[in-house]
Amino acid sequence: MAHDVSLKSVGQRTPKLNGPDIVTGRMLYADDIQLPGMLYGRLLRSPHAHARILRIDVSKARKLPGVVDVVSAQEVPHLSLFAAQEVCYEGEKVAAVAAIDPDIAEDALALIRVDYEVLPAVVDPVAAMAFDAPEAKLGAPAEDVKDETGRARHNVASHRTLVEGDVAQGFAEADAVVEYAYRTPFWHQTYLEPNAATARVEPDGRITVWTSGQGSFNLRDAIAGALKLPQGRVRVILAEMGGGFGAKNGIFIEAEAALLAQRTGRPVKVVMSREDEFKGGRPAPGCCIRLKTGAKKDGTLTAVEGTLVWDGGVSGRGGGPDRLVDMYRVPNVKLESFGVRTNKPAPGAYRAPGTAQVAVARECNIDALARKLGIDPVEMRLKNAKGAGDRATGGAPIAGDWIRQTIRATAEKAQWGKRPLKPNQGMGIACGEWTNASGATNAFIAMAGDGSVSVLTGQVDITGVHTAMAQIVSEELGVPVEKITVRLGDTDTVPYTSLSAGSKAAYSAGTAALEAARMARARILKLASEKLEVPEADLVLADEQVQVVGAPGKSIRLSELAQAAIGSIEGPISGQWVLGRIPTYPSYSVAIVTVEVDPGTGQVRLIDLVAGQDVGRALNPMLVEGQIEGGAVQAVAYGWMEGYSYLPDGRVGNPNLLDYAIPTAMDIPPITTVIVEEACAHGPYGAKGVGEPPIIPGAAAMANAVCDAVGVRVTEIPVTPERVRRALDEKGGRP
Amino acid sequence: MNAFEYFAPKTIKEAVALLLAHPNARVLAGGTDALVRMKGRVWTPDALVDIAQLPEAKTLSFDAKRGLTLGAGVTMRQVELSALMHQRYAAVAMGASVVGSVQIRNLATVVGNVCNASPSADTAPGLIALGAKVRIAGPNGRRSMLVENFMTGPGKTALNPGELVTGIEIPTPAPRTGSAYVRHTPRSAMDIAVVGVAASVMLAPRTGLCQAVRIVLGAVAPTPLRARGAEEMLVGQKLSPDLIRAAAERAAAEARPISDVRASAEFRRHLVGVLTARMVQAAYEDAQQGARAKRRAA
Repeated sequence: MAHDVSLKSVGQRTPKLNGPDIVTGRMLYADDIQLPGMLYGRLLRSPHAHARILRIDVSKARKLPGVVDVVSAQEVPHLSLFAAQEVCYEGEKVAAVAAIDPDIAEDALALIRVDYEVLPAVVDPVAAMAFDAPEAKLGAPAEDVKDETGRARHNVASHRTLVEGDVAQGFAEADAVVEYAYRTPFWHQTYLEPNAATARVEPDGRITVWTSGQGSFNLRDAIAGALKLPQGRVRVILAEMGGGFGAKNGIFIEAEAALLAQRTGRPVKVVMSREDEFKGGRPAPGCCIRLKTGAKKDGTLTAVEGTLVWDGGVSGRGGGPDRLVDMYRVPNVKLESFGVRTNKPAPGAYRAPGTAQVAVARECNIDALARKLGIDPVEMRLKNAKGAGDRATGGAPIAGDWIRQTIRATAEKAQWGKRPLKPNQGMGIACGEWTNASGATNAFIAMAGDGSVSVLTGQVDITGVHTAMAQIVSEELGVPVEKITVRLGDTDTVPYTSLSAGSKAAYSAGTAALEAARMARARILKLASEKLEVPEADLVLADEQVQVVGAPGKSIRLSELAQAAIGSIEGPISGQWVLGRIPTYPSYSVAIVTVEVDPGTGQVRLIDLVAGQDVGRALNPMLVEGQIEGGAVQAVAYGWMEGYSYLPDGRVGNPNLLDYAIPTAMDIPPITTVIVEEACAHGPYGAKGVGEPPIIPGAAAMANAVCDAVGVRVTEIPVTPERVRRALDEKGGRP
Repeated sequence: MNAFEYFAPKTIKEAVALLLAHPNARVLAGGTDALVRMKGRVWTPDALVDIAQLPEAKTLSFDAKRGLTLGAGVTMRQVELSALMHQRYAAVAMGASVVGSVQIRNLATVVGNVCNASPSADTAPGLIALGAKVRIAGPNGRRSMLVENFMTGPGKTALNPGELVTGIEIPTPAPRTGSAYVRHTPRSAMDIAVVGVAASVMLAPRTGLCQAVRIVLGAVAPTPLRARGAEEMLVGQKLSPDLIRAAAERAAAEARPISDVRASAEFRRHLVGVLTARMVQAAYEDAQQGARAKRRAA
């Protein structure tokens, strides 16, 4: 690494540039957009999990004073924004209203009459596959898969198998085998900011949409697609985002806002309530996993065999089977994975999609095997971890001993095996792997005459990406971060930029910023060389000036150069970089939790949380810690208290933040983060993507810690007090 | 939210007149229940009568003879921070201390908690365990009744049209009395009781036997429920761990819980047993401590 020791900005704990605005409430979000003459849109959503629509009558709603428009599939038969004949989950969109104030819009919803014929709802994904199960979506295409008796399975939207070696042989070689059936529920991203979008039709007929999202171009293309418009007829401007975690990769209510704006000729704002978010959101899929794992006496894994049934909601989308093996060397594998349709919303991404669910099964089985064999769970993982030269799930090269380094560093910090534990206290460990994405991005740098710098990018700032970009530009141009402004361009002002998702943003946009800054730097040095009449090789750019090596006092201020450049033949100092893909690498996360279980109530208290991750290089350790902490909390919450609870008729039983429990600050102990740095060959300054890995292992670690504390393995997460008590009862534990 | 009128009467008489004049009015104290319901359109009052502005609404006073008086505007936070409450009325103080968050406790009132009549109201079991009464004002003058009889069902109270609760009074506990409250919730703040249990124990002088006991269960019946069978098992007895456990099992049997998304009836019943044993023990220890403190003072 050329820049290793002399770094001034990169690697610093620079506070997030807009942090003060966010924490003091000055920041403007999508819901803060107010336009003259604006109407308020509200959506009518299905009250049933599955029903046929017999009739929709909007006439009464239309007559309510203050209502400007009411629209359902009847009015726009050419679009598929609203359910026309069938609703397949509670919360599916049926109609929309635009009115002069939100209360009138709400009143109008109540006046829309929809006659439904309620159909049987498919709630449990395993039951959904039965040959006689009702269809979750009438007439939907299904995979041709037979059950054990040769009858066709129902509601299977995707089917994959993964076979390596010979599992019969593998289990024959094993000295210990464990097999458990795990269940993980639908899981909402619970971002603080519910979705809000405002649309306006411009004089030229183009539509501008202000909204919150993880990528303006994805949203633009989705809105254009939904309204059957050319992409160039839609402009998307993103406000600061109040959390997305993968959910806001796609549109929620943007197209409906745009449709209402088109139909009324007035700006329309649509805001989702928290209940809408739970019912009509894009949560992570649940998964039912039966997993059998075998190992030799020394802990070496010999075989993995299992079935995954992804609760894929109405789309049947879920993850694959691969991650049941993931970061461990397993010679014999036989896995079968089903993506199953149920009467729930189509799931979306949530931080390292599809990994936390699978990690529960993988990491709990390894833990159970370790216990059975009398091997320390940390040693068990060290023994089987892939290492340098291996390939990660998906094929990316593992270029170092990253897994073992991360496990060891985290275990040491957590005092694994050394921490004195009281009765009913226990520790649990779990690990995770994620290979970050890369994708289209850009950076455009312009220097003002006084040497201050503005950076324009299409990359949405979700976790301090813009701060990291400013640090990189600062590093390369010798300009302090305070003199650098990073702005998000919109779909009319910057080239196509892919989502801030997949741990891609700082990795790819950081690279674009680095290359653009180097371009500007080259220009600065050339100018300085001309002015100072010194070869470029003898010049150093730092501290807002260009100095001549070995000639103290001989220097020129950056502002002087920048001002001179404006009137020069080549013009002002600038740099730009547009890129597509760069090679990426896996990164690893480890969670070690200490819990105390109340054997009477089954209540689990988290008393310590240590989260470790190999990050390549931490461009900004404070932001990296923030990422790790946030992900680690979301992960332990999934294992501990969080998740959708569906009623037998398929309606959401807990569509609010009271009954859908996520921990408060009172529940979470101080978090210890462990950053493992070994620079990788690509990525700015050797950084890897950091956003997603921390969410993978926490849920499994919670389950393992509870088992360590009271000796029962709860295989359905979250590990609620009721489940802990039931497991203790089954084991014959004292009340 | 619908349009509504807001009134801040200066006298109780004025408040009663307003309630009579506006049959669809709602009484506003802290607003932490009312405003949420109004925003959710569960309630659509045409007027709010704010009783937190009434004289003495914020009064929290104690007199050994008359006992404790809590005005209708006394917040959970006032109770939580009152050393007197923790000393003499621990079960109520513990209940007030766990409601919502600090921000909510700064607004929410004890009287509002009682009038909201939720089966899971955190202050109600403690109030009932300590024999609290509500003071009621209305068109026909003043009356008072036990909190235990005041809550008649989920969201339902014994208030007649035009009536409002102006305060709560709790008698001075006898010496050697202790009390405690605990609830079970998925998380440690911003939550609602899955089960709440309060107990008060009064010990006989000299013998140390249980002279009087009250066990009140929250969130396991339409209103907070006295576990009278369990109480009877303890009266006149020496409170041994075995006896407490047996009484707790009796309390579990007396509970009438339902299953919902938060917990199954079976688990709620189990929790009643576990938490009752703990609360009777805690109240017993509190009573013994009180007695010891008394002796030391003498």
